[in-house]
Amino acid sequence: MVALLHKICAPLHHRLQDWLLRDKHKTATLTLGHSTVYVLPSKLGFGFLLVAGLNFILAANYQNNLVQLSSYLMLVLVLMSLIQSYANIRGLQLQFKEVPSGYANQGRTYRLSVTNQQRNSYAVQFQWRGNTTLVEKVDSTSQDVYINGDKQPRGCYQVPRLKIFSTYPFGLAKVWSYLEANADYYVYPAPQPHNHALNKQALSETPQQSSGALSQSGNDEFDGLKEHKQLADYRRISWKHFAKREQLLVKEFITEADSAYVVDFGQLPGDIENRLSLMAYSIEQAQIQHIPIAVRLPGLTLPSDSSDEHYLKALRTLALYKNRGAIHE
Amino acid sequence: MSNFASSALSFIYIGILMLLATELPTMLLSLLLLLCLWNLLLANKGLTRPALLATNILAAALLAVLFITVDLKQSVLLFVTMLLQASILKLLQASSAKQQQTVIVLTFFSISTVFLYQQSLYSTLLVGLFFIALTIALASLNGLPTTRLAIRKSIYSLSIAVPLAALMLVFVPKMPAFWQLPGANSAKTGLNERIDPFDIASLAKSDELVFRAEFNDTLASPPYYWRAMLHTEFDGRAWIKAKIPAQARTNIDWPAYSGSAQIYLEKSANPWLYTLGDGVSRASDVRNLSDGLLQRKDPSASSFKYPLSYRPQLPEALSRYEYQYYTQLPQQGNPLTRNLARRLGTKSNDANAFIAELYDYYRYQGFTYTLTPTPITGSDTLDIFLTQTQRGFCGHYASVSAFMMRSVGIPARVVSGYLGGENVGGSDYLSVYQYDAHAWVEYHDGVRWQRFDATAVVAPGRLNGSLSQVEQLRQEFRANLELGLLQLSSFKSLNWLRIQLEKIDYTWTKWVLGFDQQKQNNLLKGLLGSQFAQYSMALVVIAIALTLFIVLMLSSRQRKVQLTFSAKQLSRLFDAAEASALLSPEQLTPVAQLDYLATHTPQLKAHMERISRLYVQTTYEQQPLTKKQRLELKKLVNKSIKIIG
Amino acid sequence: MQEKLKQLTLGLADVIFGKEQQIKLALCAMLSRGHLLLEDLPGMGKTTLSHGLAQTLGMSYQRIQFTSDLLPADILGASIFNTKEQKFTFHKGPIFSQMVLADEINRAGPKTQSALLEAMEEGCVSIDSERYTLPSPFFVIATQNPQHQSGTFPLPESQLDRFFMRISLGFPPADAEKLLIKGLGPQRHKPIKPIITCDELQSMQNQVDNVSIANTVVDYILALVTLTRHDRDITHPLSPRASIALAQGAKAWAFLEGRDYVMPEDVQAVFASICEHRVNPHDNYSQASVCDDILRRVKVPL
Repeated sequence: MVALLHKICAPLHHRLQDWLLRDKHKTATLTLGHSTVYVLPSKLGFGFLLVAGLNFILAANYQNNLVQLSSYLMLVLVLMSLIQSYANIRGLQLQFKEVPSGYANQGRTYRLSVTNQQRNSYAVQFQWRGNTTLVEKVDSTSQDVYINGDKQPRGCYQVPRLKIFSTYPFGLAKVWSYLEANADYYVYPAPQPHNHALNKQALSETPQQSSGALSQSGNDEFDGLKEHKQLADYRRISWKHFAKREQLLVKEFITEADSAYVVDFGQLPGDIENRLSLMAYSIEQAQIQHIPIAVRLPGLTLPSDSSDEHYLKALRTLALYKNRGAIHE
Repeated sequence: MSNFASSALSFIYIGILMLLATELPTMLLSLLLLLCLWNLLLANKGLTRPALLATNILAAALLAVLFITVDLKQSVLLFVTMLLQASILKLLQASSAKQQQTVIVLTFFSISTVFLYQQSLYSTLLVGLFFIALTIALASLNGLPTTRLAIRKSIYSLSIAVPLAALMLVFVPKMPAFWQLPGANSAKTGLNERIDPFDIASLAKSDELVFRAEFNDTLASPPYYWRAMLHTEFDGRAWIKAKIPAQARTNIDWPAYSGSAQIYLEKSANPWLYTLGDGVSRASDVRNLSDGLLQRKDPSASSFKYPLSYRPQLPEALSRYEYQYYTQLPQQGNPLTRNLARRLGTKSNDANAFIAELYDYYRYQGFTYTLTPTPITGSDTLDIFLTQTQRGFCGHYASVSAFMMRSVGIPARVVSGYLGGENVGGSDYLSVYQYDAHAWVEYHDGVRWQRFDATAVVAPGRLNGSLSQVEQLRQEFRANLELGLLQLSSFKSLNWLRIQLEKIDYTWTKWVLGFDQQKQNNLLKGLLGSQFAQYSMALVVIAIALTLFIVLMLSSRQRKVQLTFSAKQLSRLFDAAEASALLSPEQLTPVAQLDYLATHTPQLKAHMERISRLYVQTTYEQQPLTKKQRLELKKLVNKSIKIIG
Repeated sequence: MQEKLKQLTLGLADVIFGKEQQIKLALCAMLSRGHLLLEDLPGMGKTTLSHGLAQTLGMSYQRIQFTSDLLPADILGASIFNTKEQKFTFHKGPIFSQMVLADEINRAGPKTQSALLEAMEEGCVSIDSERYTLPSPFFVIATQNPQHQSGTFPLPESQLDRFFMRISLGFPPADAEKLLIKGLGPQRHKPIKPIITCDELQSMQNQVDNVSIANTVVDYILALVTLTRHDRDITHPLSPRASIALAQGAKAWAFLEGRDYVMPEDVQAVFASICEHRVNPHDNYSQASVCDDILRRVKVPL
């Protein structure tokens, strides 16, 4: 019942929130002021008001002025908290830095810098993707805040909204605001260590018919076997294979110039995700050792290169490959 | 941080338990105190907290103790104790900040229940301290970097909130009770519905205040016999209150009641009220009885206030039934007393003559007044008192006298109440304490009810004031009094202090505790005029809104930085430049920033160079500017701001 | 005096091409009586710079090549039994000269490293309970290969702190390198004439001490240093020794700029060189980026 209610209410709630917030928070830098900060008693504050109400009833029934006073005092304290909470967070300047892209087996980290040139802000909390970081004091020197998020499946994501809130000073009132930076980050497939060596392949568009079973042969230039065609050189026929299968196969040699180490989707075992993980590992290793590699996915080939941009592009391609919800909310 | 909160809560609960120590059963009290101490230990040693199961077992055990030790009829005490138990157990469990916050919120309710039992100024101050401590604990659990900041914030907030709350108390119209709640019927007084003094070994132990009487015109003249109850039946040992309640009085002749006073009753669960002579009250929740006494319609434990009109008792003829009622005695018992009465009776021919004989008898037969009589047990206690011990306090004399009167056919009854009251420093009010409790006899001389008080002959000074003021009994009185300020009253300065505290407490009771709907109405009408009194609520809202607005304004003040003259000028310039988005987005040194301005806004170039030069000279070269240069700098900055704007 | 200073800079620029900034920083360290750590790949001109400095300042110069089998005695010297006089005589090691170039210091073992660093700190050498004072001025330039090269013993943080500055020369600008390739660069074997004397150097050092530093600048240094102590990214915050070095370095820089007062710009100019090797950031941040970050974050007080 509750779940059902939640199901109905959640989208409505979202829409209402979107309408209320409009585009005020869709920015990478934000200074908190009266138009961008929301204030309400916190859960604890409502509990506190409830106790104040109980005290009020107690006072009325026993005609007890002291209990009455304490009930009024509690009410005023909540009002004071609302004011002070707002005053505390006002003037807080937020600047979105980045959410670095990374592998799916690591959590993402949201990075922003905060400062308050006007006054000190205390006990400010940042909530991003369910995780919260507390900053005890924000002053005029800008400081970086990191909020760790949980792991996510591979893909490209729009940076989710960051919630900034504080219940200073007593936890009775809550002020909050949002920062919605317009930025993306990629989650690459989790690298999975393996010992499938990279092998050199021609990068021409000739269709690949055999897989890399011969990759460990020790001959760098030896690339694979092809079905014998009429025009092929007899010296290149693999007689060993002919003896076994009675099939004329041609040993394929390629020249150094148009060949490169290829991270090939087609040559790796497992399902899509598994293969992508293996590829991610290969690319990661290549980047560490600065080996030029080419990346081949069905219907897509990235030429060999060893620049950092190239590796990045390769990983991004992996992140997006056959990923239906490539861009997530 | 959470240790601080946990320890603070332990101390607060210890404090609450101490304030309620007289109400709670000793066993339960000590168990709860032990739990508090345990929690203190846990909080400070960082030990692991007990498991949920253990706490539940503990809770069940405590509940059992509660039901065994607390009378189930005392529903309020039961409720308060259960609340305290639950809170303390929850505290014992609370390890996370969130749980402790919940306990703190609960504690705000717990400390209010203290006020059901204790409302003196000192308990209020103590509870106020708890209030401060609770807000500090709340703040410290809320991620504030230092405890000092938490303390500062709490005290700041409360120093604004308390006056506002007081304002609300005064101006927000009071609500009548929503529904009838059971009273806390555990208050104790020195009076009892049963007068049986003979097994008592010592009296006058408590210096608790019973009520205060504020006389509207002039102080009535002593002796003050505060009548509370009539004890009309003798059961062979004790005088007990009439089983049939007196009739409510109809058509009262108000103008005939010449004296008037305001009575401020301390909290009491007893129905009886106090009057001088024949009294009536206009208060709606006071029942005026036909025997000239007053009763509370709804005895709850809270303190109470009522106006009293009084006059001496008027002539009144007894019906035959009444005559019989007031002269009946058990058939058997106390033969010696009966004999003595008959002997005295033969000497006199009417009631008043008998009374005179009786006075003489007490006066000349060596009777003494004491607060520490010899306890008498067994039957015929009156005989033993009369013939053997001959030492006693009011209860003894009243019991014996009434018995003797009845045995010779004079209608008589024992009255209990208070005698005297302390008149502090010439003020117009009397304070009556438990040690002023008194019993005397009223007999009917055929015309009216007359008072007979044997104490008047045995200890004549007792009539003129409070027991504490009777020189003769002072030593004895003090020996029997619990250690209190009163015991030290022989030191002059301490006595003075006691009187001052007493005055403060009086003011407190009258103005704070006794501030009721009627007083509020009068005050509002006096302050606002009768037309505007109804708008007091609006006034409160405006006042609170205004105060909160001021608080917001005050807290918006920017950080204070001590700037030199040139730095001030520069910061003015930069502020203006920033407003026009001319400032470099990067953190630059002041000189570099001026350079940036000069290159990006060419018309400022000359100004900026000069400003830069002057700034470097005064700030880094540390050569103070001449008057002329200061003026120049200021002018340059002003000009530049104009260009920028 | 400023004239001499200009000549000095120009003279050094002749020795090593396109490295004005580094030359200035090196001079700054010398004027502050501090030791210098040069961190770079081999062949970037570390030796040339130190040699040039020694020559132009007219100092006695010794170069010690650190190897893994180098012993403390090889640096400090040793007592050797003289058969003729029938007693031990102390033979001074190469450290007893005004300028010592400790080449590839991280190739030697920790024991040898600390022998040198101790001598640097104390200004004297104790051998066989005998104290030998090092010459004055005494100046050590240590060179270091980048940390992760194999066969090195990285200097511990506590010892890094003893170097006043760490600079790296980096690759020369393209046109300077072009000249070098054409052989038009500084002639190696051409003797370099001393430009100032040791006495002059010492008087310059005294003048640097007299450069005035305003309160706002001190506040600025303090703010910079304090930030490293609150930053969670830095495990080793800056020590008071670092703040003193910052002030001293800023003074020397101001002096080189021809001023007798310090400006925040001076602090910024020397900040990276003085502080980079003293902070120890968490994994993914380089020392350089942390120092940049600190400079960026702290507002210069007005």
